[in-house]
Amino acid sequence: MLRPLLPVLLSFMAGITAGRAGSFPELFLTAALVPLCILLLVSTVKQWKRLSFSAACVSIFMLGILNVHHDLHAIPGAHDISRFADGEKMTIEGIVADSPRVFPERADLIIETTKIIETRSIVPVEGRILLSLNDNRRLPDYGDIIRFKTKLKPPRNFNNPGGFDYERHMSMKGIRLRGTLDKTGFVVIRTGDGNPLKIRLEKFRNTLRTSIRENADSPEGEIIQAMILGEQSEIPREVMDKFNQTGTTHIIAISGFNIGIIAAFSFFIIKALMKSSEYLLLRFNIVKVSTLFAFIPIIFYAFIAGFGISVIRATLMIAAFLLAILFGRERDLVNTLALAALVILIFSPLALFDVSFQLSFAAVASILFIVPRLTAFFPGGESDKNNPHPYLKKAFSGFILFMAASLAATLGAAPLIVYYFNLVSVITLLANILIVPIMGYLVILIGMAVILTAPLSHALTVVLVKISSYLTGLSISVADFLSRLPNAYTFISTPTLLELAAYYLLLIAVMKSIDLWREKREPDLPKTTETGRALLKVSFCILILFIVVDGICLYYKDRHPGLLRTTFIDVGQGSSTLIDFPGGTKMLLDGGGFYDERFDMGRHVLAPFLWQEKISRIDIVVLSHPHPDHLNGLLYILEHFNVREVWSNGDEEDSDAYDRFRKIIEKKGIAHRIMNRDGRPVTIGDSRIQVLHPGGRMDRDSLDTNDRSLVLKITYGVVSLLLPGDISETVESRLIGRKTDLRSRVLLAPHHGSFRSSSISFIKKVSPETVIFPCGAGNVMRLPHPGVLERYRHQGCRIFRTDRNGAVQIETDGKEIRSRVFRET
Amino acid sequence: MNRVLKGLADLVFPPRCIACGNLVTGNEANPFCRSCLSRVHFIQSPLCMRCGVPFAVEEGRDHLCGDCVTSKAHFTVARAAGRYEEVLLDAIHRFKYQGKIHVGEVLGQFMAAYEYSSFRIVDYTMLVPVPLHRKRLRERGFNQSVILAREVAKRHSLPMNFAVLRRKEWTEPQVTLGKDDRGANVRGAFEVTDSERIRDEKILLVDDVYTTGSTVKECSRVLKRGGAAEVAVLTLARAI
Repeated sequence: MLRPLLPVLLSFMAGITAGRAGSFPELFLTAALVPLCILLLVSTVKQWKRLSFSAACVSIFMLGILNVHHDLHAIPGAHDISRFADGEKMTIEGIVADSPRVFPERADLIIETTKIIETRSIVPVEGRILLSLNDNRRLPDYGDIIRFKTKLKPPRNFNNPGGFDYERHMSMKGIRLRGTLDKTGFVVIRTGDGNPLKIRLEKFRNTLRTSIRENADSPEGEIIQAMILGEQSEIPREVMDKFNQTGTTHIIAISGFNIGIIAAFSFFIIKALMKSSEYLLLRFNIVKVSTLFAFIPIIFYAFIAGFGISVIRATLMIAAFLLAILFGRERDLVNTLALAALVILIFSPLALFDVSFQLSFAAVASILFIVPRLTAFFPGGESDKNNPHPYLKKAFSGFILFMAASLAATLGAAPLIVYYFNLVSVITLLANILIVPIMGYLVILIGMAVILTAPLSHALTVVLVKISSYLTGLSISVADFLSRLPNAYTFISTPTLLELAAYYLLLIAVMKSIDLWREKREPDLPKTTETGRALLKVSFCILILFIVVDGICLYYKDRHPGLLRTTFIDVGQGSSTLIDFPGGTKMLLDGGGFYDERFDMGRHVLAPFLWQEKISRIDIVVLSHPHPDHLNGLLYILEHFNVREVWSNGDEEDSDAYDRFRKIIEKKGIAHRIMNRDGRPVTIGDSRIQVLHPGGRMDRDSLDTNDRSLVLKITYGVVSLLLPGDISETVESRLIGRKTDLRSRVLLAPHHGSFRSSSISFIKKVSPETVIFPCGAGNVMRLPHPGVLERYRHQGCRIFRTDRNGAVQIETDGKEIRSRVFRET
Repeated sequence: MNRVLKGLADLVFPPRCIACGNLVTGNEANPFCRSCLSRVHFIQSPLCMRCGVPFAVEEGRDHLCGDCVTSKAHFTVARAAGRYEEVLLDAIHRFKYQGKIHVGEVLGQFMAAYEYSSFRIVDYTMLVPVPLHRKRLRERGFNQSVILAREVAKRHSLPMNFAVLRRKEWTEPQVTLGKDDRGANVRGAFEVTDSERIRDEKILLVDDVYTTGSTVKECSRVLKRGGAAEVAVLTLARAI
């Protein structure tokens, strides 16, 4: 059997995927394994190859299911803290289970809870929670027992298509509840209640952290800290973006690449040392001895880097390659990669769905697959006796190898980067060629030296940190310069899984074609079989067919003639509506947003949703009124999407967000139209947009910001939608008084369902069939008001709420309306 | 235990042909894939009883070749497993010039297991690999003859001594020279470091390739003069 681990790995991965997707009876699966194993044993002994192969694959598939199933679908025990959390404030005691994760303006702690302290009694509990601290200046250490007050709530998703599944992300970490530390802070009851080894390790990590941060400026210090200690969270967003945009983030995150560099460097150092002794050279196989010794620094480094899950993964991957050298089987790297993946997935099956895992393996797999084919264009690896400059030639082929590896890694990882981050970076290759040698080789190695000198010599440590700080600064400048080049990177919409598959098929087909081309020129090479050639032809036919069909589908998805589609997006407490007109004109009304700037609604919720819908151009962005829960999310969209014009009511707000809003519009040269009811209705194809409110100067002087919201009525065929912003009954009665035609089949509830809006006379005038409440779960204003809900219900309206239904989509052909929700309630 | 480990290693790191690098199919523990194996030219009878050069005829008895009749050598017998051509040449290059020590180990095992014509490895009492000059050793990082000899020593439980013979003079690589210059090039390049260790030993000298035999002839001469009872030569490949 060629590469026996590949089918094993594939079966296991399929099992994990199935185990995550659905719920299975565990007992039945375990029981079914017994006859399968007997079958496997019998068929192996009897040498029924087909049967034993199938039996092995099926058993491994089932083991995959079991491996992931237990963690994911476990039911919390009777003492689990989630059974006691009711959303009210409570006093909790627990152990700090890991070193705090520090962000630029907050910190997160993982607490292993032990008890809830009530006025008269103490309730013993168990289970992990995530505790956020708004002040990151004073933090507890790993192993401290602390007491604190917080309101615990389960983590919540924004329920939009293509949205990040935060709830599952947290449950994978075994966290069912999260809370923010109360203003009263925390009290340390006792210290040193963790694993004593880990406590000592954390102490050492603290020393390192201090000496790095004291001797390097920001943001260099944060980056060095990320590379040595594995703590990326403190790096400022803008700096991280520079590395993302140039495709060089893999150097800052502790990846297989960094650990590989350390292993390779240690290997060469030890080999060079051994070469000084003739006896050692003759007595030992220096390759094996050096490989054996290379394990020590990488394990050491893994501990210093915090021994987090991604660090362990990277270390395992490199360890597998070292093992292959030890066994003298370094040639079959594909199987070695499969081994690394298998070991990682046995211990943390959910890694399969982790972006960093997928990126690492895609990059390495494509290096293994593509590099030999690329370097084949540059003949001459054998030592040539007649070459007068052997070193020059060696350097040249080394450079070719580096380029080929960078290109191959980029080709393999790019589709995943597009899928997860919607980012295409044109300058990745150039950026990597410039930055990898500085950061990937020098800074990493100096970092290793810092780890060694920190306990020995303060002066030397300072010097080393300063050097790496200088080099890091240099890299930041390079990344900054490159990312500012015109068209250095673009954001594109999310590809479908089929499109990803087509890309990889194309990549494989092109590489196989290179093989065929080489076979023609070099008759010595093993020939591709007839089946292989036929498969290649079929692949190209499928690809051409796919591109045509996919292109047509994309065209129809964008233009959808005859259909007006409106999506009320779940942006928590706030409002954001996408109106997709027949013919493809796209209008985004408001963008949601939180009152503080800690969470960027545009970046994390709106943009992923729009990209998922294959939208990267918005024709019209409408701001109903400049309050943060309507405005803040729009900023990211204005900055990163192709926007033609902006409509607003002309109100200006004295806020940072509004300032940025104005500046982005100015900088990008977007047309800004001030709308009011005196203008003529705008027609887009067969649809008509009327501005019903506000009027001229009088409204400006007499009404507050909410009441000056733009009120839009969109009509297509006989169907109308009314989008009234945050108006109150004052404006509602003015609209009625002016005898405006308000009748609409779909209504966005004014002011998120506030008690002061949606008067009965307004509801009667509009007489909607369907009402959508844009609101966040458990919001402090307690919207929508139950009385308002009752009023609509009384009128026989169908009610949707973004907090319960997630995104709500209403589609109309001008006659009928159809609704679709992300989540049924 | 070792077999279990090897089985596991085969599962995790499937064996590849040491000449072409393709994955080896089939269960037999063979260092070459089927297509490469068919292109290895094994050396069999009839051959020269002393220097081991195979004769071009199909059948016949072993006898001395013309060279050995006219000239005298210090070794009693020399044998090689295969011709230094095609597949075996590729594998040796992979081992020596690309630093694939693992390939050398496999070749050593192959060399140890091969059945030579009228010659048995176990008749000797000590294995001595042909030494490299220090400078060459540092450059390459290993001595190919030591690696081959170690595998032979393991298989036949013989002592191997890599320190007893030393290359004291730096000489031009033999491959760069013609047949006639080779003998002069290596003359006086070797010395015995400790003649007590080789006294009355039946020594088997191990090298990777036998081309004209100048190197092994010079080594045998030095060893014989240092007190060895007998010197024979075993090489992996032989140029014909």
